[in-house]
Amino acid sequence: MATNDLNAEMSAGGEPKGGPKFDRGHPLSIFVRDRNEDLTALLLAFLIAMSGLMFFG
Amino acid sequence: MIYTKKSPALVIIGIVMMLWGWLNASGTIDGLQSTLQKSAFSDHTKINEKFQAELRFATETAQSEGKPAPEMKKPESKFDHAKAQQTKFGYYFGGAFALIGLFILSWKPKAGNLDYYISTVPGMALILLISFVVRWGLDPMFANWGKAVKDAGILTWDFAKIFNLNYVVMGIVAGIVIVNVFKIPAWAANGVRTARLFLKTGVILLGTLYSAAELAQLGLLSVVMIGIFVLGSVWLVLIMGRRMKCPNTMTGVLSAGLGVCGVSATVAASPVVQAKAGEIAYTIGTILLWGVGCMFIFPTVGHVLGMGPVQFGAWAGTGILNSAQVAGAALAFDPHGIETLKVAEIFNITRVLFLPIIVLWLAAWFVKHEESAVKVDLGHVLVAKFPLFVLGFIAMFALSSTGAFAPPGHYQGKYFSSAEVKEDKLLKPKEVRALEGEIAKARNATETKAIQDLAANRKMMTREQGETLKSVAKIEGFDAVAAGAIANAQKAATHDSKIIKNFRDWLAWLFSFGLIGLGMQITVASIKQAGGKPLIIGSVVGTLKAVGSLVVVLMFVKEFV
Repeated sequence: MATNDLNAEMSAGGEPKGGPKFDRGHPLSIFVRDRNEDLTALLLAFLIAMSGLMFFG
Repeated sequence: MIYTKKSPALVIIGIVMMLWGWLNASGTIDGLQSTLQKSAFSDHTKINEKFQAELRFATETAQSEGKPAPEMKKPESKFDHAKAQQTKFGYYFGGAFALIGLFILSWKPKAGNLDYYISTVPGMALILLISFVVRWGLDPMFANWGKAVKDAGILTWDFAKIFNLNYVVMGIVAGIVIVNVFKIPAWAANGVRTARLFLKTGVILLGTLYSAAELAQLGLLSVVMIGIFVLGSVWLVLIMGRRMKCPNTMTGVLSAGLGVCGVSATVAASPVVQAKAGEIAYTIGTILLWGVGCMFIFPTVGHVLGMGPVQFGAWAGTGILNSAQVAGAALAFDPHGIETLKVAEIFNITRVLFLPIIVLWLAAWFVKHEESAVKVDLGHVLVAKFPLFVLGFIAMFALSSTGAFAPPGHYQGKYFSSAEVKEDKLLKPKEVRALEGEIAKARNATETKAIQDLAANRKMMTREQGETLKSVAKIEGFDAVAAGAIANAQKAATHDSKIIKNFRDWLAWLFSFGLIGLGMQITVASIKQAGGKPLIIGSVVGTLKAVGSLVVVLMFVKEFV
């Protein structure tokens, strides 16, 4: 079980390492874990690009 | 575990945002806004006066003809647009946050998906509120101060521009101040952790601003020279970082910052090499301090060595690390001419266009070295670990180069098009006559042809002629009306892609959000942890780059690039 105290993580290691310490497999990892984070970023960027093309193209 | 913390903070943030929206909508803070957005307000006043005069004239004409007063719509000024945007953002986001905040207060959270997602909202709202303060308050305020100090003659340069006191740097600083003075409240922790996601989204969109065609339009010498120095600097930092046993994350981000062009490259490369927030801040600090030093030293050295404007522009555009300081040094060297600045900017743009190559290189380098402890197949590791968002960045760059968002030759959405010049923007007969009267002053056949073409077509026909005519307008004794005509024709033929303008807005918000969030993860301890090694590497590589580029410029760059 992980803790979720950002300040404690920072004072212990200078900075939190590798994003939130959520339980393995929980849905928020979409936002913050390696490739899931990359995929979410790709999806967001794709949506922004599409909306740009739709509204201003 | 329950992640959502019960706190009235989100409701308060929502109310503050809505209040800001209302203050803008009602015009209560027009005085404050006019001070913050000085130039937009001055345009706004002019547009209003013109509209009132036109309305009065139309009403009087209608009355004299016995017709009802006409209905005219006031054109929206930049000032109106900014206020409308702040109103919209304030109402939409404020309303949503207030509602979610009330839900959190009345809800008994249970462990599960809803709890996970809701727990990120208060932190994201806090960062967004700080983004509002930074982008709508601090950014224009410092820009005004920088200009005022320069206009008053206290400094000969704009300190806000030179020290990059824009939303990027101030966002990080705001985050650092908050975390070191107040600490991050428990209710905001999960939202702060989403900062890197938005930064990555911003980096992907960054690819839309550049195009390969723009690179092809630049001079061969600038491409070769910059290529050698950019790639050489990156390579040198990577070698030195490994030798000095700096963490790969620090070395990677430092190499992009020192090699390409300062702050934007640092931001783009940081998620590629998984740099820590403290390392990003350290790199940006090193680049800015180094750049400011160069800005003062370069013009002096240039004058001592008797360098010409082209030589100095090439040297500044190659040797100085950050864009704002390149322009600062070029203007300090040659405050009245545009030649130095133009050459420096060409070299600077060339450097920025190397960013996609560097991002790819760093991604492969980082994956290889992070996995080097275990002997594995590089190809396999690359496929398994290569950061996917980098592919997004490259894909956007490729799409942008094919002309999906703006004509292929654009740079950051700005492009030249003679065909798109509107009828009312064609040169007036008076301007054409003034141009024809000045043909005799042309110094060569190219300039003569450019003036003749402009006078005949009443618009700029090619980008090259635009460049030629810019220097023609600077000829001593050149008629002011003719020079004004050249400037007007240039402006009319330069267009800004609406799509990319929209992306630039998105980018500003994403970077602002991401960097404030990252700033909120930088403690004094993390800066200390980075130690003095990056500073040594930065100084060595920076000096080598400055001296090396000086030697190359003196040897190969003569009068023309």
